[in-house]
Amino acid sequence: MNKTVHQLKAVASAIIPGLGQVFNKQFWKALVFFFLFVLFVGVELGSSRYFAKYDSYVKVVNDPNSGVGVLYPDSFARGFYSLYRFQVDSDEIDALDTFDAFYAVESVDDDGFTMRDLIDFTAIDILAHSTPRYFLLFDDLVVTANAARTSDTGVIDEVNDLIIGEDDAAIAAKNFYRILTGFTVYNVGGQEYYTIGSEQTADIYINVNDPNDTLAEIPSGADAYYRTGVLFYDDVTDKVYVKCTKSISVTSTANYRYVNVADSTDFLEPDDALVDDLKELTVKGNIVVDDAGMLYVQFVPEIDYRKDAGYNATAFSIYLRNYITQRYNLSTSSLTSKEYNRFLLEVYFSVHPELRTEFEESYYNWFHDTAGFFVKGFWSVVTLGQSDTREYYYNSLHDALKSVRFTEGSAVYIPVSGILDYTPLIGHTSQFLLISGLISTLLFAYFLLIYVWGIIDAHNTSKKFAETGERITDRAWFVNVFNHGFEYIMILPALFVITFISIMPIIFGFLIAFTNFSGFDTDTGRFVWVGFDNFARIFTFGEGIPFAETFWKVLLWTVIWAIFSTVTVFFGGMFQAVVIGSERVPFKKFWRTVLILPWAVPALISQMAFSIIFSERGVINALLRSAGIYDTLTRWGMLGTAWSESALSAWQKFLWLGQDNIQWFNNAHNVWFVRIVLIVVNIWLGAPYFMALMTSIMTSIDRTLYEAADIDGATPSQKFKFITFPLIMYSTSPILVMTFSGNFNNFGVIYFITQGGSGAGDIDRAYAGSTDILISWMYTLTVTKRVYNMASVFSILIFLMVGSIAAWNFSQTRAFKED
Amino acid sequence: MLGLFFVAILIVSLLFTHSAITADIYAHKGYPPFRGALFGLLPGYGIYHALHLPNRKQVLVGAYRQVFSFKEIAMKLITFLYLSLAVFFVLFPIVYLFSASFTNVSELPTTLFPPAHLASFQNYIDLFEGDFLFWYKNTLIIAVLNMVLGVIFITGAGYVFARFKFKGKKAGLMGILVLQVFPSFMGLIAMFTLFQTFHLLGKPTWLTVLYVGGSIPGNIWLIKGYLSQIPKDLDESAMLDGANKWQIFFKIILPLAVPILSFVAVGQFMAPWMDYMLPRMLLDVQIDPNIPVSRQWTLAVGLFSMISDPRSSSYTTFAAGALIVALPITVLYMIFQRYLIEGITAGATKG
Repeated sequence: MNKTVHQLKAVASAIIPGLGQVFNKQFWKALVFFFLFVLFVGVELGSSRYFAKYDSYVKVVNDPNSGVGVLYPDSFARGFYSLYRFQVDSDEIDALDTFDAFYAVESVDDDGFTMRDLIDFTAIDILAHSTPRYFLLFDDLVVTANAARTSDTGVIDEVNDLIIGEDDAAIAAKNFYRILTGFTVYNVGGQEYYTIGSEQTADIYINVNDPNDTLAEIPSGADAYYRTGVLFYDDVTDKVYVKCTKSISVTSTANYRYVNVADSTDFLEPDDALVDDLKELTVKGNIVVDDAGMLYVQFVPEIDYRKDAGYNATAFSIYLRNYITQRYNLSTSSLTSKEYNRFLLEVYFSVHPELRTEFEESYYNWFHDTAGFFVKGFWSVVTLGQSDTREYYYNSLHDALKSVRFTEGSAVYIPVSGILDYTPLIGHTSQFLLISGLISTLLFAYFLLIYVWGIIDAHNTSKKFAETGERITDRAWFVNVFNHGFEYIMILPALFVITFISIMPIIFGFLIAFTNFSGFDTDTGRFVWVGFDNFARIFTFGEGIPFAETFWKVLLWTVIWAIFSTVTVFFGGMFQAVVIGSERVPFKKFWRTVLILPWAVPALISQMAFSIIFSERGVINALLRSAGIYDTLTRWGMLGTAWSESALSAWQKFLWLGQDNIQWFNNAHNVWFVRIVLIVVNIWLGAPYFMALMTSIMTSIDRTLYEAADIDGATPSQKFKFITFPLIMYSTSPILVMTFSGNFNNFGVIYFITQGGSGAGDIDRAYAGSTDILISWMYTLTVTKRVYNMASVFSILIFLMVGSIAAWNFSQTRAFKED
Repeated sequence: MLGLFFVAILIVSLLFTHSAITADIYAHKGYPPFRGALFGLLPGYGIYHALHLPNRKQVLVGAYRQVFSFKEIAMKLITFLYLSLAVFFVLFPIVYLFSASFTNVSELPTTLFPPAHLASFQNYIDLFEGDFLFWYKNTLIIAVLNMVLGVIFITGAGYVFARFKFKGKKAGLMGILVLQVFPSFMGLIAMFTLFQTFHLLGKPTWLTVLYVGGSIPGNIWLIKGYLSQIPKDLDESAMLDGANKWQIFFKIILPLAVPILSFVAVGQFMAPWMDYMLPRMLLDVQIDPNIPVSRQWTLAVGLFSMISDPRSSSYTTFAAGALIVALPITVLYMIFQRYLIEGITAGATKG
């Protein structure tokens, strides 16, 4: 047998796992590999929708939160037509010609008169009756009924008030200009100009009265007014004015100006006597004026800023909605409000075909909705989702199609409840996608490992058999695995747990640092990969939220804190141990027992206790006050005066402790005082442990060393310096390093005692308080302020710093070297 | 007030100095110094008695004189002044906590001992009427589960690392080390998202999963360290007798590993009581509109909530709760102090 045979078997295993093993005549082994392969494929296919037709419509129906159900069946449309025909023929209602014409065409189609056709017609009909219309604002100086449109509009059949309806030519001939509301208008040379772009990106400025007159820019110092759109009418002079303000936020009357809508050079200042006669007009809708100075109300359905400017009800739509309501109220009906919502949505899409396209394309994403677990996982990790959440508001169909209560004969038909105004379509949530993507990638890695193992195994077994003629029988192989793999089997559960509880979250946290995941929007929506931008922010000073400045400051304090807290605790404990251990102290056990109490009390409890003991109205301040110390401090100027930058001398500012009470931990002006107090308090917390540690080490030091020193005539301090101290240091330096890195990340002391210190949560300090160390700052960032990506960046940096120290420390220990 | 305090400290220090001097005299005269120290606690009489003791051994006159020298006495006095002050500072917060829990005021108690008219058990009653029992129950469940599951998952893995050489061992150890170093923080957001996906937020029992997973690396080290001290000869002789690896594990190693397993079990049990970050983030979400969120908390979160908001805090109730939680742990630590400190020391110095 030559090499290629082995390689061929390996290739066979590559194509179908287990195949190579079959060629090696190891059937049980082959079964195992094949089984795992089938498992993998099974999961992928089982979690997918490769074989079902799945599109946006199916998806929205399956989403329980969308409130949308399936489309009415075609029988519904035909039933509708039957009833309509019957009622027309029996003269109960008038025929609708457009509908009859439409039906005549559609019913001879391949599929007859379907629900789709009915929807399309509804849309056509509504649009036909809701074209842009203009109603004369004043007719004999009275605001016309249709101009002041309310929501109870009946069917538009009346034409008395309607000046221009469906006649496009007539509309074009009228030459309307909109009265601009909500725009800032610039007064240049007596003419008013407005711009379509935003203030910063304006391209041109258009004359309000003449669209052909434009300016490239407004000379500085030009008058600018903001048109509020509130109209006033002067019935003496028959003029209509629009109120303008100099700025949107300032509402004092001195800011106003009333500008004649027909002639912008004619305006009234607030102090003009004529202002008193002005009456305010309330009109719904856009006001437009033609070149004859006549005012019209412009009705255009669904103008952006007024979603309730809806489509009018038409004779057909009323008839249809009554039909639907009746069908609901039949006791045999299986129709629910969800189907009604679907119907409204479909009509809405027919009215706005571009929205339909958008819905079909963006709400359905092949990777997200059809692909299986693993494929979707890869896509998730790469793109982090591609569609945002969208809401389709169809409340503009309210008048036309939403059912109302009506009486027919003796029957009362009740409106269908549960009709929504919009359909919520949830887009992709990046954080979930990232997590599931990570999980699937990790699982895939496991499967890949097994796959590769199978290939290699096929090759090697074949080779081994060729060389030695020895082939392990299946049974022996299993026993072998059982024995040999004992190690791996024992580790497997723990490994599995670690992967998904420790490793995956760390990878996730790591990856977050490269995204813009922060704030409430990205919590439920999408975020994107931004590469190293966040890391660059640490070095960008003076921009936005000051992460850069704060980071370095906090880092500096963290390092100082770690060093000083460790050193003070270490030597404090050592000092204590030496003192108690010295020969002149009896009852050593008693002292040790009492002094080790702080270590025995759970750290959390003592930290919280300290926060209330040192609070401004706490017991320490009260005791100091009653002991008379307060009076002394007040005399020295450290207490009792309010802080002020100017009134206090530099020395007083340096020693300032508080106004009424000593501010131990929230002294905003004497930050280093707070920090020093914190380090001192930390001695209480940490020294006892070291005391006990040192004691046990000191008692284990060989007595003969001391005796030899005594013989040589050493003094106690020399004995300490040359024997005790070096030996202690040798034994405890690993612990020292461990304590250092522990204090670096000592969340509890900072958070529970000081809650971050003064200024915590201030955005100008990037949310860091004056005593915040990196980890407590990160906690605030994550839990309270939700700036997840920056918190991740900091945690990576912490890891790099502390990790290298700890890793070095561990690698120095004997046990690791021995291994 | 302040003067009173200083005087008290001085008196205590003098007392102890007196006792120390007596002990010294006893030692020089050949008696056990401890007895002398005890006698020395009786002021005045102690030294008098000691001075009149017959010598049991040859007294070195020079050294004996030293005992009464000014320098020696001064050093003793200073030492005991320092120790008395240290004891005062150590005991102050603890005593305060005790007394605050028995004080019935609505804001911060400002005296070390409660005034007689305010002393009562009211805080404890308030505590039990509040959500304290829920917190206790939640934490207890997590602790027990953590203990059981943790030991199960870790033992096998630790044994393997201790005993066997296998491919990837060094890498595995290194990896475990690295994992330990990551701030547990980094995984917080991921765990939050994970829990949210599976609707596990707000359910305390599921926190166990996190605790177990998070403690695996550290505990593997501990068990490995301990088990590697068990001589390998045991394994080898057992293998000669024909035992396979499984039998060795269950019949020989496990019984021997009971001490370290109990240590790990105790550690696992203790872990959730004082953990704040994780429960705060994962349990603060309301799952049932009828049950207030605070019932889902664990002890640490609950206790802190009592003092963290200056507008709605109940400091004395906090003190009562803190005492109830701290007392058993403190007593346990005091009893087992030697064992615990040695364990931590050994773990650190020997790896």
